[in-house]
Amino acid sequence: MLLAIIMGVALAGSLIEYRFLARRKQKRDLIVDAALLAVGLTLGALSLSDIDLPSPLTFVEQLFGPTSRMVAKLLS
Amino acid sequence: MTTHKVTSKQLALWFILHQLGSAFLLLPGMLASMAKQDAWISVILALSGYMLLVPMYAALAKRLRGRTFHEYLEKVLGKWFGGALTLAFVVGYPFFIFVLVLSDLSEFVTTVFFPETPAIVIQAGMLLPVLYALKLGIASIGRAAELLFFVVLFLFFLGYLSLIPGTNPAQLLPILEYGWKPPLHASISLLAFPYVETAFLLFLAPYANNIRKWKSLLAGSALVSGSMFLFMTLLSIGVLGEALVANMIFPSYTVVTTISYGDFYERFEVIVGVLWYLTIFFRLTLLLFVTADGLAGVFRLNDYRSLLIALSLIGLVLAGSAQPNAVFFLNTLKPWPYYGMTFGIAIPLAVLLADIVKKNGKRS
Repeated sequence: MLLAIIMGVALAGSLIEYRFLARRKQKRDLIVDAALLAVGLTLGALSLSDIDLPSPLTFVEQLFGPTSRMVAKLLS
Repeated sequence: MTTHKVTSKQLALWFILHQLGSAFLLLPGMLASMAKQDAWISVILALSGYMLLVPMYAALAKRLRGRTFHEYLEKVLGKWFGGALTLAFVVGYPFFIFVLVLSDLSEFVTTVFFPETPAIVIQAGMLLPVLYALKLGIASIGRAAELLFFVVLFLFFLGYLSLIPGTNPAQLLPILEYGWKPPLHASISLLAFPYVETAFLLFLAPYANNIRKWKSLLAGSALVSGSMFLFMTLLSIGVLGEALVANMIFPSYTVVTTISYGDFYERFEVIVGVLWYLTIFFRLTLLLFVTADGLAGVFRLNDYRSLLIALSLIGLVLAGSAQPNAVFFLNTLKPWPYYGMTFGIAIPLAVLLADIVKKNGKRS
């Protein structure tokens, strides 16, 4: 619920910003920012609907876990 | 209205505050769990290791010649590969750490101070000043660092000097009980977190008004933060003993709670809270600035500032899932140094070598 409020505030803040960007005709800024905001809102919606997002740390563990265990064995 | 230049002194203070944030609370426990009572030796080892790397970062900063790191990468590696590498670097390193720092922040505050406040309130409350500061530009952050550094230093010494009467130097003995390997292993963790994070300070190099001092700036800020870590680790182990320090998540907080003289001079733990907020603020501003500035470079935007809101929203949502529980976090902390070193040492070194080889090829 709190997340929904924060998402609303972020959306409102961004829309105000887009008006400035549109007025200054900075199309590229607007598109990139809108894409990032869409990613943020999608992730937020997923987490609001109780879908567990995987922790980005899992990926680090999978990639570097073997190296870490090897060094730990070597230096103990 | 806003200038985009910071002085070398402001940058150095900003780096020190950045290095203190998160590491300040997590480090003593992390080091003691590997190196036991020799944790302080690993601080010295890591600092010496870092000093060997400083010339590499300084050489890269010199080669930027006022360009941003992204422009430099494009020049050396070609437009597409340089852009892709910048994107991967920015998202995979500073932005990733940004997410982790956000969850560290609320982890400590909800454990110790506000157990019933939802984590997201603490994180969002912190992001507001961070966003405001970045909207004002990095010159303002530099000036804030100049002001607040001395507050941090004062509170740090007020808290930790009060511990000296309670230390028992015998807790630090025997030195090197398990040989030199455990401190060496622990020093790898310290080197990767926070020292090789210096790599993304290269993104700040074009905003510094004096690039020639870069080497002494990096070495100086590492020495200051390193001696603070050394002091803190020695005192934590001296007061609590290695077994206790190794099994706590926030030993540098717990150790301050032991200060009590005559039932009057006590309750210093709130100092740790203030230090935590101040240093995390500078850490988050630096990480978010580097991310936004790098992305703005890759996508050729006019201003990094339009990206701030969207980036912090993504960071906030991801921070909620980054550390599902403490056990998971402590386990994934182990491979982290090798991930950090890939970005912090391997990539800058490869770029530097590529540049040197290219230059020599042109000459002959």
